[in-house]
Parts: sequence; structure tokens; C-alpha cells
Amino acid sequence: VKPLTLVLGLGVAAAASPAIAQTTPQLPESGAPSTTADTRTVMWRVEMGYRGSYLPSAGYDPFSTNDLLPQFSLAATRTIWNAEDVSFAPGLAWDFGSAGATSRGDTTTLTMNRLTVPLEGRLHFGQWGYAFLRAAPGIAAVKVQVNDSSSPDPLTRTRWLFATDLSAGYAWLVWPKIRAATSPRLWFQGDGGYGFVADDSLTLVANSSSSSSLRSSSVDLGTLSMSGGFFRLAAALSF
Amino acid sequence: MNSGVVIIDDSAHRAVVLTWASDQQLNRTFLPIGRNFTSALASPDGQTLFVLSAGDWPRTPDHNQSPSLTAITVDTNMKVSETQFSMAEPHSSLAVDPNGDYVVAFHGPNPARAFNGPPMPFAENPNEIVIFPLRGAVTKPVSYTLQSFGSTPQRLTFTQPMNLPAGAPNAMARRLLLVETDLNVKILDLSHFFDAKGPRPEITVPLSTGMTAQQLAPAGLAVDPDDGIIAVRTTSDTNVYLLTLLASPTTANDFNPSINLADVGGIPSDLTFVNTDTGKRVAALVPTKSNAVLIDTTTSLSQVTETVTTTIALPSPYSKLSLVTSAVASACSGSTKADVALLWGDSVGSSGVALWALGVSGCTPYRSVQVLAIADPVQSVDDVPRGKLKILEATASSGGAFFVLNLLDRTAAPLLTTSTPAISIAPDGARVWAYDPNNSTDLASVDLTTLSPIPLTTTLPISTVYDIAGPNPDSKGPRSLIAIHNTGTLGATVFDARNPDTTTARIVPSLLLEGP
Repeated sequence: VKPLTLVLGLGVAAAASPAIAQTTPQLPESGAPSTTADTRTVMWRVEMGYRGSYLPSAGYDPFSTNDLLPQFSLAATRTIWNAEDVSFAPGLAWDFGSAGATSRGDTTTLTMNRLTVPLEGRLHFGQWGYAFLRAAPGIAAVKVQVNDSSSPDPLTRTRWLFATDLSAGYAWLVWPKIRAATSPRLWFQGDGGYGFVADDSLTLVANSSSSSSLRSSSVDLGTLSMSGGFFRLAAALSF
Repeated sequence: MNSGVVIIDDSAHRAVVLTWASDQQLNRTFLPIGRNFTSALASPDGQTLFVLSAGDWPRTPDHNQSPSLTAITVDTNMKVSETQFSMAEPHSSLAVDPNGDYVVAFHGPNPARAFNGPPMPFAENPNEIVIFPLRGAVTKPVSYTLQSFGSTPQRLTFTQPMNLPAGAPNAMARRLLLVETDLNVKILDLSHFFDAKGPRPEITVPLSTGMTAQQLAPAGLAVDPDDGIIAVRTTSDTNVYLLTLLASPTTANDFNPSINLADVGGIPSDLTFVNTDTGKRVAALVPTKSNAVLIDTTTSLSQVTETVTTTIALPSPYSKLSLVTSAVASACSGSTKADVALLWGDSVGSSGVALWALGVSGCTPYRSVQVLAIADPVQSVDDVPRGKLKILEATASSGGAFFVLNLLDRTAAPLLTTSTPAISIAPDGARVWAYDPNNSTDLASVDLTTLSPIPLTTTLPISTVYDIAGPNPDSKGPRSLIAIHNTGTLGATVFDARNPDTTTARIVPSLLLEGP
């Protein structure tokens, strides 16, 4: 609450003290006097892009031939504090990805939904955008499925796991660059880092919705780690 | 195996050993085996599986594994272990000593089919055998090339300890390896094979009547360890060849075979040594004449050139026989030491089985052959351990039945099935499992005491079944029936073998997905 109050307070102070504004040489690139916060710094922001993760875990091998997990990435953030060229923006992010392969003739699939709370610190460079550091704690739902004809029903496992991302990147302001613009701004950004997901044992069981009347044993495929390095390329709109 | 099922996972170069676990679960143990599996054979006691691998060919710095033999053992405590031996050359066939002393790897009759891995080496020696000692001070295998006269080994037989030389005062018990090639029989003294100065050379016995230059292919043999005699039948000759291993002080071996021929009037289909009330004989079946011939082996011992034979007419052209003396004798307290043989045949015209008493005993005072009528030819006779029962599998033309032969009651109870069954007898002798391996989910357990079948079913088609022991295999310990489903990465349905019930059965899927 305090940072938001501080930001709003700064805005109100700027509006209520034109004399100070006139004496302070904080002119935008257009030369027009600033009457509100710089929306290149203080903003709502929605980003959407591609995230590629490299997962070297042997437990991931049955589900991928190249150790990569492609994901769709969506995030929304709001600047809640800024000072000089530094700001802080928390938000909410969702990554969704799936992979599939053939393991000894069986088709396998893995899907992962990752819900995180990105906590982003930004260093702004005016019209050139900003660099950022992001920590994103959250949870990941990992579902795996193996279709093996030796099991009357698919072998599955779904688990919610603790997850955290640590990354660094740069957001480049595409348009409009001027401070006074009132239209939404378009950004391109990229970041890279390491995504940590708690390990899980791959103990798969046949789906209980089976037509089979017999009990079924579990299948232990070892330990799955979805942790690994990642990069993300995204486009964002801010307003 | 008695306490486990071994699945060879050649693509992963490993063996997956399934053993009993409570509540119809399975323990899985993964053991590495050599690359490019060629064949496997279990020891007669059911405790060890021998696995032959060809290794890498051509060998490269990254793939340079030698041919090997892996012995996988599951002991009575269900402890799984393995031992690996290397070889210089790949081989595709195995012979396992029933006494557990030796294993022999050899080229075999169909190497190309068994050798399904990498390309064959350019040059091979089909007469090389590799003998692995399993007990004693010597632990390294020894390769040996059999002398060849254009022949290659086809079948190997380990003899029980034989008193050799036959009839000699200094005779000593020793074991022989008998090698049937496609042209002759070879005799190798195993007791001196691992001597420091090297193996004694084998003795090659060509099979010929002496009337023509044609050499004959052996078709089977029988051994009398007490008198040092080997009886050999051939694929195309009416003679039985009796090889008496007499003393020969001047040769590399201290014995040499004296060969006698006994004409049995037709090509014999099976033979064995039997005790009759007039002494030991070779019993040979001649289905083309519907008779059996008893050959007096004492004539060969005395080196008389003419052997004495006695022909017995049989009611049907039986082609196979096995001794059931121990099973029958307990009911015949006043019996002599004469044997009782079970006769059957899968040839056209034969039907049922017969018990052939080779002496006049209190049990069969009035006739020597007792027929148990079964309408169809019997394809095979399976032993039931620890019992007086045999399972008779009829030929496919009869379809849908098998028979439980009670040697005491001399009855053959039919058990009907809706399709031609495959049979698996529990190693504890308490039950027999019948299933249809042709894409069927039907299974039945038949209690061999009550002959009451318990119908069962699985979710997936059954390819084969195994009845394995859990802890305390010699007592009333738990047992599991593992029905293998050859689909996907192999699955199994596990039943409580003693009380099979689909409500307590469990599916164990994806047997090959787990593990390293």
C-alpha cells in the first residue's frame, strides 16, 4: 500500500505545484510540460510471448527428444513504486507449455501450467525502455500421460509443485516513445534466466475412469525435474 | 525360473527380472546383459538363466563389447544376482548341465536365426565350443575346437557320472559331454577338460553300418552310466549303435568305444535304457512296425558281435517313451526293480498312451502293456513335479482338451476347453494353468487334487503364463501367477496362484518402461 500511496502522492504533488514544475527542468522530449507521471515508467503492462525452457532432467527424456519445452507466456504487471529511473512492478503471470514424444513405442505427453507472481525491478532509460530483474515465485501444475497398450487405460500423474523463476532482461520501447503520448505503448522485450520447479517422482497410475475391473499397479519412471534455464521473447502493451 | 520371470530387453541391453511381491505386485530388478542378445536357457533346477550375447560387431572404440555369457540367478530368498563371462567369439546356442557343473556355448544348428543382432563376422568356426565351469577351482571358460569331418555340432548331452573305463577294475566316475553332429557322435571327457595340461582330445564315432560309405546323422541317444554304454539312434538307419567305453591304455583317453549294432527292424523314434526283470536293456520304439525292441546290452559288454534283441508288439505306433517307474512303484509294494515306461505318440495312427511294464510284478501280473484310451494322438507328455500325475497334450486336430493322467489309478481325466489350450504346470505340482495364446483373455487354473477348474479372465490377451514362488517356496508360501501380455512395453496380470480370483488380481503395466 505504501509505494502506491507514494506514487499517487507524487502525482498529486506534481499537479498541485505548478511552480515547482516550472522551476524543475523535467521537460519531455516534445518540450511540453509534464503534468502526470511518466507512463513509460509508471504503467499497467500486459505482455505475451514465447518462453523456451531447456530441461536436462533424465525424467523429462520420455516426453521430449530435445530437452526443450516451448511455452506460451502471458503476464500483467503494474508499477507500484518508482523513484528517479527505478521502479518496481509486481504482477501475475501464466506460462503454459506441452511436449510429447514416443518412448519405446508409447506416446507420451507432458503439459505444464505455471502460475507465478512476478516481482520486477526496473531501471529506466527514458525512450529506450528499461532493463529489469525479475523474481517470480509461484506454483506449477505438471501433468504427464503415457499411452501404453499394456495398460487398459492411460497412465497419468498430475501434481502441483512449487516453482520460482529468476531472470534478467530488457524491454525496448517501440512506439510511441514520447513521454506525453496517451495511447498505449508497444514494447518488445527479452529475458533469460533459470526456472526452478520442485522435483517430483514420476509414479504413474492408470486412469481410474477405466472400464477395466482389475486393479492396476503404478509405473515408476524415476524423478522428473522441470528446472532449467529459459529465455522469453515477448511483446507488451502498456498504458 | 522357479522364483522369477526374466524378460530380455535387448534394445536396452538389460534383463528385467520379475519376482513376487505381496498383494499381487511385482518386484522388478534390472540387470545389464551383453549387447545383441542371441539366446537364453534356464537351468533345470529353475534357479539360473543363462543369457548369451554376441557383443558389438564390428567393434569400434566406442562400441567394443566382447561376446558374453550372463548367468542370472534368483535364489529361494528371491535375491537376484548375476555373473558375466566374456568369450572370444559369439555363439548362438546353449547347453546347460542338469547337475549344474557346466554350461556350453556353441554354434548351434540355426545360428543365423538366433543371431539377430549385428552383421555376422566374416569368418566363424562352427566347431568351436566354449565350456564354462560353474563350480570348482577353475572359473575361466575354455574354448575348444572339435575335430571336424565336415560336420557341425547339433545337440549336446551331459552324462551323469559314468564308471569308466567300463568293466575295468580301475574305473573312475567321470562325466562326459556327448556332441551329436550332423554326421557323427563325439565324446569329450569333461572330468579332464580343465586339466593343467589341457583337455583330452575328443573321440569321434562315425555312424555307419560298414556296408556303405554313407555316414548317418544321429537323431538321439541314451546313456547307461553304470555300465559305460551309449546307445545312439540315427535319422535313417534301422540299427541302434551301442558304444561301450572300454579300457584303452594306449590312447590319449583311457577309454575307447567298442561299437555294436542292433537292428531293430525299422527306424527307431526313441530309445532309453530300462531295467527289466531279466536285466538292463535298451528299449527302442519302432512306430513304423508298431512295436518296441529290447536290446540286450550285456552282449556289447562282452564284445560279442551279435546283439540279442526281443521284439514286443504294441497296440499302437507309439513314437515316444519315458520312464515313470518312480511314480508307479509306490503303488506296487511288491514290485521288482523292473521299470515301467509311458508310451505315447504324435504320429498319424497313434492314439492315447500306454504303460509298458518291463517286468512281471504284482501290479501287472497278466500283461506288459496297458493302454489308456484317448481318441487323439498325444502331442506331449508333461511332468507334474512331486506327483504321480502327467499332463497329456493332444494334437491340435483334437482341439479343446487336455488330460490329467494319474499313474496310480491309471486314469486319464479329460479337461475341456473352448479352444486349443497351452499348458503351464506349476512348479509345486499343485495346479496346472490352461490358456489360449492366440489373442485370447481366457485363463483357467485346474487344481490337480480335485481337478476342479477355476475360470479366470484378463483385460488383455495372454501370450504366456508363469507360476512363480514367493518366500518359503518349499512350504505353503505364497505364489503368484504372472500372465504376460505381449503388447506395448509388455504388461502382466498377476493372480494369487493359490487362490486365483479376478477380484484380487492386479494389472502391472509397462514392464519395460521402468528402470535405468
